[in-house]
Amino acid sequence: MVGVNAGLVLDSWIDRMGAALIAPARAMAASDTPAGQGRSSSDVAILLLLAVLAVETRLVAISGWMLVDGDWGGAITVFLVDARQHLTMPILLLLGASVFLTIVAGRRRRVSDDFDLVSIALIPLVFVELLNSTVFLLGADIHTLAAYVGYAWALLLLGFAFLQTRKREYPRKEAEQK
Amino acid sequence: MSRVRISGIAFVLLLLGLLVLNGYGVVTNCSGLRPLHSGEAAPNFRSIKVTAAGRLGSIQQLDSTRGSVVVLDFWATWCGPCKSTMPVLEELAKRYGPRGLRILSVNTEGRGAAAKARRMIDRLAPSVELLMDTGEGSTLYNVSSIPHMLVIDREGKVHMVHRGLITVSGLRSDLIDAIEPLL
Repeated sequence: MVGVNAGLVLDSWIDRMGAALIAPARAMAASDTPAGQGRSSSDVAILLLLAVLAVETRLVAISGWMLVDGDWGGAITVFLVDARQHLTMPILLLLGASVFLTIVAGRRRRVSDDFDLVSIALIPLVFVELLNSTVFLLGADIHTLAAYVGYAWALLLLGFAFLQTRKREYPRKEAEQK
Repeated sequence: MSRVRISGIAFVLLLLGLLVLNGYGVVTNCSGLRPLHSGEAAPNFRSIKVTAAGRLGSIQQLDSTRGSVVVLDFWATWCGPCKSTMPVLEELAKRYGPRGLRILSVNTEGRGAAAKARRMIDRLAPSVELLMDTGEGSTLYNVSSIPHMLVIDREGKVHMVHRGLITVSGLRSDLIDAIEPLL
């Protein structure tokens, strides 16, 4: 049977990443279905972990050497300090924007779904950061431009997230009262 | 294949490409990435002294500090955690300086940042010696997370390595524990 949400299904992680970049409205609509609940936030967690590994491969190797030398504490400290440098901003943005979206969604708010929508908005930011790191390795420095583009893109997707919340139905009790 | 899938694949290829580029650098210099340990000789490197006016001065060799206990601090002006460690360095310089401690604050931002680094040091830790890295120090010491600090004894052996910052109070007590027995 073909359901009403058949066109929205994004089964693979790769599809969901691609949709966040070029079809954010579709990615958010898919995330806002019962089948999509919780996927985006776990997708972003995986993406952030992979991004830290890709950007800081050298540091991961240093941590590895520390483990080989038996300095477990040092290895964990190096990795945590580095992860903190890369993850603090995305996590603060994720939490702050989720609270904001939940507030502006009004009676259509669904806290965990709002968090999922904001998670999708974060994907282009990570994409731009990866692009920036690659360009830097190849000898050019575009980090200021990348920061502007990344945050502007994320902000645009937060707009899409807000529009997605407007498409939700009111909770049943309120709908009946209306 | 849908456009969504193509862009998803492009995303993954970007991620893998970066991993391969960085991984190549790691594989070709794997043993060079092994961190220094207590008891190992601190590699000599050249850095540039910064004058009181914030201009580049003469070359400083780390080996010229032999005979003193040295705290070597790699840092940058944009690094918030580095700034928060400055008052600790100032305290240590005042407390242990008369007993033979030298604190070398090596800025890693390149020669153009000398004046900015001088202003920050003058404001937060005027008793420490400011140097600009030529790239040699940060490469030899595998500086990746800053602040990156080492305590080096009078014979030029490493006694403590601290990478990054978890808490300022933890760093302070680690530094004091490492410095006290060496003076």
